[in-house]
Order: sequence, then C-alpha cells, then structure tokens
Amino acid sequence: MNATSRGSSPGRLGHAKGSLRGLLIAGVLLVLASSPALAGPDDVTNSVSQKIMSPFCPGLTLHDCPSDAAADLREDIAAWARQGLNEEQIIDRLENEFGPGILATPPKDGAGLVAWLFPIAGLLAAIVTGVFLARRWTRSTGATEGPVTGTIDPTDRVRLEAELREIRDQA
Amino acid sequence: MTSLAGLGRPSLIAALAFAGIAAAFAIAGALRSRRDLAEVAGRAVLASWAFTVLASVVLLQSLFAHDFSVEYVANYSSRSLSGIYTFGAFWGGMEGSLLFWTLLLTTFTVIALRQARARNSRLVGWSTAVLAGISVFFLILLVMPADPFARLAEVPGDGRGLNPLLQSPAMLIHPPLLYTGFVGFSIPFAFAMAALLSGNLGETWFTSTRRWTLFAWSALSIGIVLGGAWAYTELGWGGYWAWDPVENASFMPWLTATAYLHSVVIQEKRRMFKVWNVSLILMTYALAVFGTFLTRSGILSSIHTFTEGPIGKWFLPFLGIMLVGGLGVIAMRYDSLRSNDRFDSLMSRESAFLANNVLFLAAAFAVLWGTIYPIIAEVVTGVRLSVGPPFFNSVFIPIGLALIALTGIGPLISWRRMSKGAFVRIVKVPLVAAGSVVVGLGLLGVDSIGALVAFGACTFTAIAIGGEFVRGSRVYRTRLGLGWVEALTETLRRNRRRYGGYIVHLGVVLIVIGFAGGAFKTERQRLLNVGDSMQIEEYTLTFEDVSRTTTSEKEIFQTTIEVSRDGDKVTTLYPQRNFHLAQQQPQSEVAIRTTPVEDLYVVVAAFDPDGAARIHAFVNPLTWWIWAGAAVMLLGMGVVISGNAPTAVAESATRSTSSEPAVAGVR
Repeated sequence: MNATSRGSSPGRLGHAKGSLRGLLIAGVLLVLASSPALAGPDDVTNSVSQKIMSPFCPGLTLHDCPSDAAADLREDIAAWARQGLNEEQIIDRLENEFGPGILATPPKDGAGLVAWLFPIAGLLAAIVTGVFLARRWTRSTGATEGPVTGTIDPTDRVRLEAELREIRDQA
Repeated sequence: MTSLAGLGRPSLIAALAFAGIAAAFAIAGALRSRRDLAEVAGRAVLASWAFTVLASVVLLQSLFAHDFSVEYVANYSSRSLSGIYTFGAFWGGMEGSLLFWTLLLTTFTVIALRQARARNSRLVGWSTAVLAGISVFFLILLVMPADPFARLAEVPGDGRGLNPLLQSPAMLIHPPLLYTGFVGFSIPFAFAMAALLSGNLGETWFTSTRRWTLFAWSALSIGIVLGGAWAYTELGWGGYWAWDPVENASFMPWLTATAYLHSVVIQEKRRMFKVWNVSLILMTYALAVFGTFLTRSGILSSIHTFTEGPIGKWFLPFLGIMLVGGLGVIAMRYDSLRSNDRFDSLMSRESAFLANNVLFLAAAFAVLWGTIYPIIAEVVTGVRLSVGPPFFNSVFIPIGLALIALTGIGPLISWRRMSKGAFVRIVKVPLVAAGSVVVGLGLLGVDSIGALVAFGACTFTAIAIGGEFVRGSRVYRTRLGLGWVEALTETLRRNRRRYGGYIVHLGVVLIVIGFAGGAFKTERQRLLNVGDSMQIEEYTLTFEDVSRTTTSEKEIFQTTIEVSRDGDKVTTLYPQRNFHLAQQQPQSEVAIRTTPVEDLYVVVAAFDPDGAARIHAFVNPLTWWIWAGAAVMLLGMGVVISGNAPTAVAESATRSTSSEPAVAGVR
C-alpha cells in the first residue's frame, strides 16, 4: 500500500477532525458520568486478597493461592470486613502480622519507590532513545536517496501497478 | 520389567565428552579453516545427540519400570500413576526437565546444522561451536549437580507420584512447548554469533534461521497460552495469568523475540537495525536461560536459598560468558554492522517498527525488573519485599495497550514516508469505529476506563487489519475478476508472511478482548449445605448432592450443582474436591460452563467437617475469546511459516569481512 499517492483534501481532513473531537468529548463526559459501586464484604475480601501475597504459595497472591490455609485466611478477611474494617485497616493488620513482604506492591516510598520509578524511567529512556535514533536515522533533506534495497511483495506490486494505471487513466 | 538405569549416567558422560569434542574441533576448524576438523566436530555432534537420546530412553524406561532406586523416579512417579502421566514425569522434575532440554537442544542442533550445511556452510563452523558449547553446559549440569540417575540408599516400595496439579492434559503439552521455544531460540542465537565471529555479517544468519525463529516463537506462544489454560482449569482461582515469576520467565523472552521478529523485517527491507537485531536475539536467548535460572535456582524463594540450590551457582557463570561473549563480539563487529541507510521520514513504517521495538523492550524491562526487584531489595536493604500482579498490571497494561494500537497503525503507514494528511485520512475509519465502540459501550454502562481503552484499541486494530485484507483483495477482484472469497484466498496465498502476520495480530486482538473482559469479573464464596443456593450475577447455584468414590490414586468427592437463571435450568456442573493418596494432598477440579459471552466457573474450595461445601463461583466475561484468539494466532503462525523465505536482499552488496572459508558441518 502506498497511501501517500491518495492525497487528501482540507475539507475531508476537517470533517475527520470534527468527528474525532466529538468522540473525544463524548468519551470525557462518559468518564465523568461513571461512579464507583459500593463494596460489600465479598468485594472487600476479593480486593484485599488481590493486594496481598499468599504466605502459603510463593509468587501467588492470596486470592490466587489454592491452599486450604489461604482459604482460611480469606475467611478471616471476610469476617473482618463484616465486622466493619475497611480495606486499609485489614491490609495494615496483615502487614503487622506477616511483615512488609506480604504486600503485593512495593511501598511508594523508601526502597519501594525505586521499584516504581525504574520502569517509568526505563520507558522514558526507551522513548527518548527511540526518538533520538529515529531523528538521527532520518535523512535531513527528506529526499529519497538511492534505490530501494528491499523487496516489494507481490500484493504491493499489484496494488501499486493498479494505482499507477488509475493515475495514468485520469491524466 | 528390568530397569536399564545403570546405562543412564554413562550415556550422559559420553554425551558430554562428545559435545566437548564437537565444541573444541569446531572452534579449531573455524579458526584454522580446516575442513577435516569441522567434519570431526560434525560427527561428534551426532554422537552427543545419540547418547543424549539413549539417556532419555533410559530415564523413561526407569519411570515405566518403577525403578524407585532412582531418586528421580521415586520423587516424581508412583505405581498408581497412569501411563501418560508417567511419561509426563520425564519433565515433571528439575533433573528430568534439564535432560529434556538437552535432548531438544542436541536434536535441534543436528537438524539445524544439517540444513545449514546445505544452505550456507560459511556459518556452520562457528554455529557448531556455539551450540556444542551450550550442550556442554547442560550436560555438565546433568552429570554433576542435577543427575537424573542418582540412586537412593534405601529403595522405597512406591514413589511419591507426580504433583496432582501437574496431572492435566495441558501440563503434558505446556512444558515441552515452552522448552521447545526456549531451546529453539538457541538456533538463531548460535547463527547470529557465528555471523559475528566469522564476519559473515549479511542477512544469511537470519534468513537461514527464519523458520527456526518462527517455530520457537510459535511454540513459546502456544506454550504460554496453554500454561494459562492449565492455570485456569486446574488451579481454581478463576484466572489464567498471575504474573508469577515462572510465568514471567517465559514471557520475557517472548517479548524480546516478538520485538526481534518485527525489527528483522527492517533489516530485510532496508538493511538497517543490524546491531539491534543481533542484540535482540542475544537478549532473547539470555532471557530464556535466565528464566530457567530464576525458576530452577531457588533464588526467588530467597536470596539465601540461591547458593543452597543445586544448580543456581552453575547458571551465573554460563550467563556471564554468554552475555560478555555476545556483547564482546557485537562490539568487535560494531563498525561493520553499522548501516548507511536512513529513514526517509519519521512518518513511515520503519518508525512504527522502531516504536514497536521500544515498547516491547520497555515491557520486557518492566517484567524483568518486577521479577528481580525482590531479590535486589533483599540484597540492598535486607528486607524481603514482594512485587505482585497489581504492580505488573500498573506498569504493563499501558504499554500493552499502546502496542495494540500500534499493531493497527503499523500496517496503515507506508514504507519510507507518508504525509500527515494521508495518515489522518487512512486512520479515520478505524479511529471513528473505535471511538463509536467506546462511546457505545459507555452508554451501555461499561464504566471501566481500562476496558474501554482496550476495546477501543482492539476495534481500531481489528478494523485497520480488516481494511488491509479488503484493500488487498479488492486489487485481485478488479484485476483478475475474482469473487471476494477467491480474491481473499489469492491475497493470502501470494503473501503468506504479511497476511499471516495480520492473522496473528487479529488473534492478539481477540486475546486482548478476553483480557479486557477480566475487568468485569465477579466472584462469590458461600458455605452451602445440600439443598442450599447461592446467587452470582443472574445465576442461581444450588448444591444438590455430593458423591464419594475411591480409585487407586485418589478419593473423589463430586458435587452436583444445578445452575438456573430466572427460574429456568441452565446446566448442571460437577466440580470435585479430591484427595490424592500418594501425595496426601487435596486438590479441586474446576467445573466450567463456557460461552463466548461469559464463563460460569465453579470450584469446591473445601468441605467442612459437617459436610458443607465451600463453593467459590466466578463469572468471567469474554474469557472464551482468549482461547479463540490463541487458535487464530496458531492459524496465522501456520500461514507465516508456510510462506516463502525472504528473498535474498542483495547479500553480495554486504561486504563480508570474513577470512573464514566454507567449512563442513555435520553430515
């Protein structure tokens, strides 16, 4: 496909931009209109057990751990939720009992902050490097120099020929 | 049945000796340009393979002969274990899985070198050296710290049996496929290293191993999906992916290999990204080995168990040699690898491929970092912290969604350059469709932002790919006067690599739709006596009955759960809670009613002493699409692999700096 040969008109472009703007506004309104549902004891148990690593299954959250001991701990959490403890209080209680290693996410301060910053820094570094390399590897003149070194696949060739024929016919 | 276990260890020692001879003679042959030495290396590779096959046959025979004097047989099989799972016990434990790895490695080595000898003998010498060197490492493990034929002083009357969780059809196929993927990447890795070592820096190393790369990537992809299917049907937590370090170990090389499969197209078309491509294949193989190290060394349990594990301390020097050696030869050839070609414009398919690679590498880094962070934190602070699914979801999902969108954008952009106007015009239809889906779903009450973005990105990509098929087919319709079906077939037939790739992308889109359905997952747990009911979404589950039967392997407690909706019976499910006698271990067997809309997933988590069943029920929307997407991916991979190898892109134009003449490899 060589889409550059199709060209574009300002009218069409404006219409497209208008459609996209309308969709964007509708999307924003939709986000604003949505509201979170209230959580019951089951939901609190599910949510907490997904934020806690299982002391009984290395590498798995409490939610995903199939052992009987994990099922008992989930029952305890459900009981605490029925007693009126909220998610944060239940997680604090578990952290006090089992230590910081039970949290499924590193804390967002101290040594834990590094865990969060590194991927972000890595992504930013990758993007900056990618943009830098792309600019460095892009011809400054914008002109195509030299022959195309690769191969053109059969479908592209047929489509290209068809489009060229169309242009010749129009001319 | 008489056991042949006594032959096992001598076979492994012989295999190691021949692998060592192969490596030494291959290096000498390549350095001195001696065909006779290379031929010796080729024969030694064959001998090493033959003895590895013999050792594997001996282990299997010991398993089937119930020779419990062999520690491995006693640990991973039992008299009551069925034949098929006795076969699966071959890779059910560490020592057996390493032997299986070595069996695959030596087999692939023999096949790949035989193929390469016919196509391009210039790379065979160093490829033999690299592959035989890898075999030496794994055979040393098998002969020294991970001997699958180690004997017990006291022979037990029966074995411990295979872990009940591993007794699943998916588990019979999943590990071999993962190993096939991991080991399969050793072939392009070895040929890349051979290209660097020999100075044959053209495109031959990747064109001649293209099918190996696709084969390894396909096996790894299917293996990962089957692992998810196993987790879903066996573990009973209602999900398929837990960001467990073992899962991450297979996912990291998959990410870099996927980046490589895309970036190698740039080298093929434009002869750019040469350093990048050899680095990616090095990274992929290193991550495959690193993943094996992570999961086999015990380092993930605690940094302190690392040195206690039998094989952990052996892996680090091997990884070090691989990385230092690999990076060293890349640095050595850096000037020769640099490309003089340039991008014509930032708005080009080349840039889209670069962005794709950046995102894949960022994703791989995020997964790697999250996996090893607990180890680093423990080393630095002395405190063990955890990194679980919430972290991985936070950092990976945005990258994953960007990749899905890019999957749609990539095919729309032309090679070399494209005007902004043309770009806006060509993305208009998919973008408006995606926006309409997002708004429509929002109006229908979907309030998960992540899911809306995912559905939008999937719609965009599906429409963009569909458009490519339509545009391709239209040409053949017009030119050859074909109907749509024939034109589509012609489009696929004439360019299997490109359109097969699009089919793979469509499969990925379906899989992501399935993942997005996870945002609407519901789960409920209730303690039910016979006759009690529980409600989940619009389903009513009634605990009707429980039956007990005993086999030689386990006690089976099967419940009968009637499922109704609005008073009408929908189905009957039979989840089980079983007790495995050999392992003295309970295990749940899940019951699932699956439809394209949603899965009703029911587990008996436990029985109370009074007979009440603790029922854990889930409604998982759209999970079916994950398996459907995997099937579509498989179809696409088949189409891609069946396609022609890339046309040699002016290999002669790439000046070889080699002084090595053609050397013979294995016969």
